[in-house]
Amino acid sequence: MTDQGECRPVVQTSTKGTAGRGIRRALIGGGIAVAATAVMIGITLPRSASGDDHSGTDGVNAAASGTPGTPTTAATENAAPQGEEKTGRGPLTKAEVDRAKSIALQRNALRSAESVDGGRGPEYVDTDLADSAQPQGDDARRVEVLFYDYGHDQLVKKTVNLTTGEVEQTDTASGMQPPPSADETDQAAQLLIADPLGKGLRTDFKAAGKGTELTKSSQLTLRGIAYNTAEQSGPADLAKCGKHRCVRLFTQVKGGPWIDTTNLVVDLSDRTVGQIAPAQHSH
Amino acid sequence: MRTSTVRRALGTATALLLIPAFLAGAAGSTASAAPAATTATTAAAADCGSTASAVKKTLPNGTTWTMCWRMSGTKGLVLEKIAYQPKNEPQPIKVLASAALAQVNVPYDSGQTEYNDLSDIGFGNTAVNIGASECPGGTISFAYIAQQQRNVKALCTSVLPHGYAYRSDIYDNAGNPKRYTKQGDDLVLFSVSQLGWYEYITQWNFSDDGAITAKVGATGDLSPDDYSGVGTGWPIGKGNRDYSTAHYHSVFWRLNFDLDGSNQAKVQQFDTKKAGRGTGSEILKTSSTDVTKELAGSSALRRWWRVVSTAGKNADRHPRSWELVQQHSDHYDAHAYTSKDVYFTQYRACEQFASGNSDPACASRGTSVNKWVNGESLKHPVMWVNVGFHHIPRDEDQTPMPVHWQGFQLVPRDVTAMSPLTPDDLSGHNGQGH
Ligand SMILES: [Cu+2]
Repeated sequence: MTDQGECRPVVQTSTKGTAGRGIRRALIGGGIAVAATAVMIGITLPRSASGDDHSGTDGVNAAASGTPGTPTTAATENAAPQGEEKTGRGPLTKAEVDRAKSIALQRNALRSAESVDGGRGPEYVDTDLADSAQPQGDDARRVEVLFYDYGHDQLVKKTVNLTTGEVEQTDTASGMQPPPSADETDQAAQLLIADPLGKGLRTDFKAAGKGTELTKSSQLTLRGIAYNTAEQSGPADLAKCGKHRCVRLFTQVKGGPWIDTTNLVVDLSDRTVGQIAPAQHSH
Repeated sequence: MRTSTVRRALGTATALLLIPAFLAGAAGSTASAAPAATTATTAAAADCGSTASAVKKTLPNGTTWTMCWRMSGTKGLVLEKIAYQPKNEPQPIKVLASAALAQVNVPYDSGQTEYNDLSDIGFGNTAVNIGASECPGGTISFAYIAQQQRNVKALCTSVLPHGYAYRSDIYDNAGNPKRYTKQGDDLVLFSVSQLGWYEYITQWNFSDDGAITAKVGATGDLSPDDYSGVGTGWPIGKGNRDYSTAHYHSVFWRLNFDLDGSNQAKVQQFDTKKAGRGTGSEILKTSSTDVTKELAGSSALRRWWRVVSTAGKNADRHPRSWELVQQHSDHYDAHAYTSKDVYFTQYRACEQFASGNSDPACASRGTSVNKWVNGESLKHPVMWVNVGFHHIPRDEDQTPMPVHWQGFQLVPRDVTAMSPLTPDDLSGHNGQGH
């Protein structure tokens, strides 16, 4: 097991249940952990020890960890599909995503909606291929484009038929919160950095960056987490998250350690910051 | 037809005894079959639109699997049009229209935090590049990930051995002792998603004997800031100081069947109960119940479910079916939707996630699978499998954490009249006395 003394400097912002101890083992950037994956696939836990006995002493996994004679590198690589497909179930291409977005918004659709920064027009969230067994039952390549309207706190789905170039359906709902887009995640970080509750993050960033101040989200590697208290437990003062679009963040110093900010919730609809567990100490 | 008088009993017991081995990658042979059909035609790749998304692999024992793959921002790896073609079948046997993850719920025992890794973050949004050394001998495929606005080396496809397919010391048709044994292989597809410090491997194994194994492996690192105390954590640092918080991973998969090309399928539940003492042992009686309406199912001793084709039979004229094999699962009883082990719902395109469903077209129906089970009759069943794992950290789970896996299998039951791996010599051994 790892001795604390062998660890890299640790950074901690969230304060749940750890009063008095600011220093904890650090987690380093993702690249190193990813590199270990091939080997990890080969390791399974004994049944009695893990409870997750679903792979057991799986021969497949054992083989992956290095059977003599097994090639050690991937034999081939396939490029991502390019351009546009008229039919079929292949992965969406960049060209298709861009086209679906523009079809969804053609003829000034959703112009009364509001984006995350209060601008005119909806906030783009995601694009995905529609389910294969659509009632239409034809071969058309159908795509669902999701937008969020911050003016009305509503999720809007445009079903776009890429074969015909038409919007076939528009569905709207409140209370539904898909994963935040990169832009929404960025906005949330910007709000957090500027908020009094972002003090711990700023302090930890400065410590990790040897004195550099944290002023903008681009100094961080971020991953946004939608936070919907209709779907999970949450404190009373965050109960509006769900009706509002709220985001938590996985936060990492670019090329550096994680800074745990998952106790903090940014409400993008009213541009406030709250916390899940009350602070027990501050940096 | 060949007949053989000298063979070891290959009765039903053989098949049942093999079931615990399913998760070791091998499916038991249902030893009863007619001589299989004639020579196989070459399997066509599934029509996926783009060739880059078609997977077609013939395993060393002659079984071909075909499917289409893509990455969804939220669901991650999505497999579609999955078909199975054993070596003596003239046509691919259609199995699934689509198969994908439907939720990964991770609540911490301290009561302080909870994540819906799939519906709140997304397994495609967080897909990372798979390195060449992570995919030995395989093929790495790129996919465009919209949220990352880049192409990611998202999928590894490879063929890996899984050990014994079978072994049997019996006699050949001339009456001479002979050992029949074969090694089996799987077509393996996986993607990797990085959700903060946790990393998940989404993996599907398609075995040459027809078994489909879905599993999710968690690795990366334990949460760096979730520490609690006795009862809610486990001390992983020196002495009794750093209690890493225990937590759950409840993983859901959504399976939309297309058995023999039809989405109309029957679901049956089987239960085996004690029925009095026989002269030599306890009598156990197995009975089936047709699941004609939507079901929220709980596991129980000797209970299982299967999805039965309405469109195809094997050469023994038994309807083809696929059996859900769930082994150990600790379902999370603090949410309604994680409290059940399996759901069967009538198909709806807008019902995609077991909780946190975010399709506005379904808004009036509620956002979790338990709410969709409302007595509707089941004509086009969608199966939702829930496998829960309560993770109490160990010293050994520290950086990087050894992968912990959870999953289930879908195993052919009467899809072919005998195992597709049966050696030609023994292909006449179908039924009692054949
Ligand atoms: Cu865990």
